[in-house]
Amino acid sequence: MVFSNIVFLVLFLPIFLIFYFTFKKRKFRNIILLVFSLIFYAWGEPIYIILMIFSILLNYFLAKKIDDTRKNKKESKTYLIIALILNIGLLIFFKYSNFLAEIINIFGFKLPYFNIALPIGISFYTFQALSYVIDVYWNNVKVQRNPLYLGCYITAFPQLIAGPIVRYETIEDELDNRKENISLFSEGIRRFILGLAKKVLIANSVAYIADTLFSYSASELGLLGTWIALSSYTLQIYFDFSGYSDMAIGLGKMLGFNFLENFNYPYIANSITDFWRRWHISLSSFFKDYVYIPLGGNRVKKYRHIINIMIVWALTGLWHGASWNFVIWGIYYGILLLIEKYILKKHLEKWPKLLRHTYAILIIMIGWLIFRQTSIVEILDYLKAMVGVYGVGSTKLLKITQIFQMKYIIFWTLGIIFSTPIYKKISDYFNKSNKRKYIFDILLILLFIVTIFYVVVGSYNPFIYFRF
Amino acid sequence: MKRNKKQKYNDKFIVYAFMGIILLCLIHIPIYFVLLYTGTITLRIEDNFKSANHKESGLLIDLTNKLEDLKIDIENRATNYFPFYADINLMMRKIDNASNHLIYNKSLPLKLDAGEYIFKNIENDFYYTITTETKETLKNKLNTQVKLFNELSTATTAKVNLYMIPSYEYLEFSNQDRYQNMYQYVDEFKEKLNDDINVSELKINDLKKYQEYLFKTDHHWNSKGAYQGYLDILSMLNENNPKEYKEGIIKNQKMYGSYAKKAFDKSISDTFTYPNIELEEHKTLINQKDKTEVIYKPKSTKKPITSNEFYDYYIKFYQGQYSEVIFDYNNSSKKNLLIISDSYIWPIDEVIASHFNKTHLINLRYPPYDKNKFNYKEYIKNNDIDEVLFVYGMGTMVLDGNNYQIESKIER
Repeated sequence: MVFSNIVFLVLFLPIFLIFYFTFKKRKFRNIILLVFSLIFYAWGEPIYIILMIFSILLNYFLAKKIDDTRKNKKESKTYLIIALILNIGLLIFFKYSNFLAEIINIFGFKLPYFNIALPIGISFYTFQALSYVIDVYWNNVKVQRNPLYLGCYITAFPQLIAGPIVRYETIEDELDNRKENISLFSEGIRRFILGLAKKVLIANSVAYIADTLFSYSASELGLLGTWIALSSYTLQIYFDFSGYSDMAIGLGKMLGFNFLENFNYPYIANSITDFWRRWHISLSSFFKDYVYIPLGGNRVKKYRHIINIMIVWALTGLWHGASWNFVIWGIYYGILLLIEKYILKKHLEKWPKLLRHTYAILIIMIGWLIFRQTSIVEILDYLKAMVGVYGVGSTKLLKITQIFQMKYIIFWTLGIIFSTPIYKKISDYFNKSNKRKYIFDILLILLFIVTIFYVVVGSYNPFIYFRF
Repeated sequence: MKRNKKQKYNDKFIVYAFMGIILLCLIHIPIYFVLLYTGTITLRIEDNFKSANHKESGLLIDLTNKLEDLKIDIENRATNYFPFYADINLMMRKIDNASNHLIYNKSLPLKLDAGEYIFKNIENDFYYTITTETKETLKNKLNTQVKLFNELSTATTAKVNLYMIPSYEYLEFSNQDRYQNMYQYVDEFKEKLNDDINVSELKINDLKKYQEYLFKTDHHWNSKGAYQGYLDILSMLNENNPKEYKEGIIKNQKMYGSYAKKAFDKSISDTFTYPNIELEEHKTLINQKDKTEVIYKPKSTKKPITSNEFYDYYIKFYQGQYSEVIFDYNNSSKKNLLIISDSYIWPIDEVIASHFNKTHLINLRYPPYDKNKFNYKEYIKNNDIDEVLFVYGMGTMVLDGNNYQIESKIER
């Protein structure tokens, strides 16, 4: 189930909230949250709920063992290694087995390919579970003795399928001691509406442009079409992902959780280093704390540091998907970050702000092209089109593909505007007095209604006795 | 303290408003269901129902399929029972149209449908579509279609005849296609076909003719178009003495056809017309049953009170959704004909059949052919077929438009 679906908005969410707030005791509220989270997950792929429950029990048991054997470091470490192997093993089996078989088969082997569906959100909840067992081992958090609470942490539907990756330490205390109140609930609603609007109005609109145009070859699109397609995809991926994070954070607040921020206006970045401080923060910090620093971080010799960076970024790329383009995408950023650190850093600071920003945006957009296209040949072809090798391109194609519609033009423009911290400024302005706050809330409710209208229109897909 | 109270008031407003909206929508679903169940109200959109994608059987799979059915049922109800569902859709369509009018004055983009973009021709008031396929895909599909018909022409001694109904996109004067001229594919198709295959089409040379032959809001042909098709087909099959034509009209009822329904646009409407032709006595077998035993061609468009504006007159009038229909005019001096076609043939199948002894009409869309292949050779042999006639829209015939995949449905 996704948050921008009618079933979630008018069935799941209200029914869940009624049940959740009917009970006063924390234990019951957590049980309700766990049960509804499992239903939420089962909506997508019911069979994988077994995998989810297995993951909860596995990590519950192993973390307990790690804690119980803490005095015997070797034994404790053995349980940690088992936890790492099983968690990562499951992830590899479901997500990477075919990719690995493909690599091995290059060398003449004939490994079979599995026809298995990828369990939704497996990368997110595996990382959450990993953070829990590792933190228990490092003694950063107390072991959770109640499997229901651990289940709540791993499966909590607000962040289950698209993050942010919430670390156990972030909500350790809130699992048992959170306080739901109207102020936090209203804050959550505001954030949820904002996220929903970002996803439904902007991300879905620009997604139409990107998906439609990228279905044509670079030579058909030409310079104009390729730039429109790539700029739309750049907006789509941000508004889709950050919209989802906003909804997750908002829903979390409604239930008394305070998840950490996942985005901080990444497209105003002045360098690639700056971009990665602002983009998918929960993933970057996960890799930093659980991979980069344990590898030695930057407190090692230069060549070792370079290796560390490349390992982290190859893994970051691979985390996004089992395909070569994701590996290349990760390595692309690893190299760029190294270049910025060792070569460009001093020069970049001297560049005018606009130039630095243009440089960053261009690099990011090319990165998204690598991210989107699985074929290296196609990536190179679109890059050629971006510099005009295939000519300017035809406006007729843009008209016929129905991209030049007023709503798309408006939402594309709004996408660019709201990639900047303008919403924060608007929100700050309205927060200055109660009267303004009231007006702001009215505007948000109107935005919610308009967004729901778009959700409704998106669900209209009648069966047509078409052609035959 | 006073300040805190004010703060809480503000917070309460958004909480009440948000919860009010989602709870109202939630309560609306069971209320709407009860009102529908008791017949107090009717659904304004009848066909907005998704169907479940079932996996192959097995113990766990069967359970998963049942859960999938339940899920889809809930999703369908949550969608269709949403408060003011039809009104919201209509309002949003009007807003889209009005805003796009600021950019366009000839053709209005309406919607991307599976495989086609739907447009509204503002100057002449009709809808039309344009394919979304890329040049490469079209080329491949064309070759597949050519291969199919060439193989069929040599598979048996029965003569193969193809008749196509063009859509706006294929007409030179439309100047709407993104490949400059979609008709180039038709030329290439004809050129690549074996010489012994007869090919013909509904000739439309100008906009006036187009509007005379095809509905404005639906992809089908109207009564005049269908009758012209009948004449063309007779001529292609070397048959004479066409029957006389009278136009049947369903008056005082606005028809919003498939394009209008898909785009949820009511700004253009049609009058439903059909060729009204007197026929001799004949026997009709539908899926091996006598036509009196099934609902077939009621030739009435009495719109039930429960139906919405997008009532499908064409389908309801002909009710021809069967895989096999046999028309027997019991005239052994004449040939036996096999027609393989879709809904386009319904207005004229019986009248074409009146020129033959036995006419077998096969529609590959319906069971058993939705899952099993139609054995072409065997059918021709078993039924002494002399002539085979394919009647499809130009896009379907030449480029397998709408992914109909005729090629994979015919065993030869």
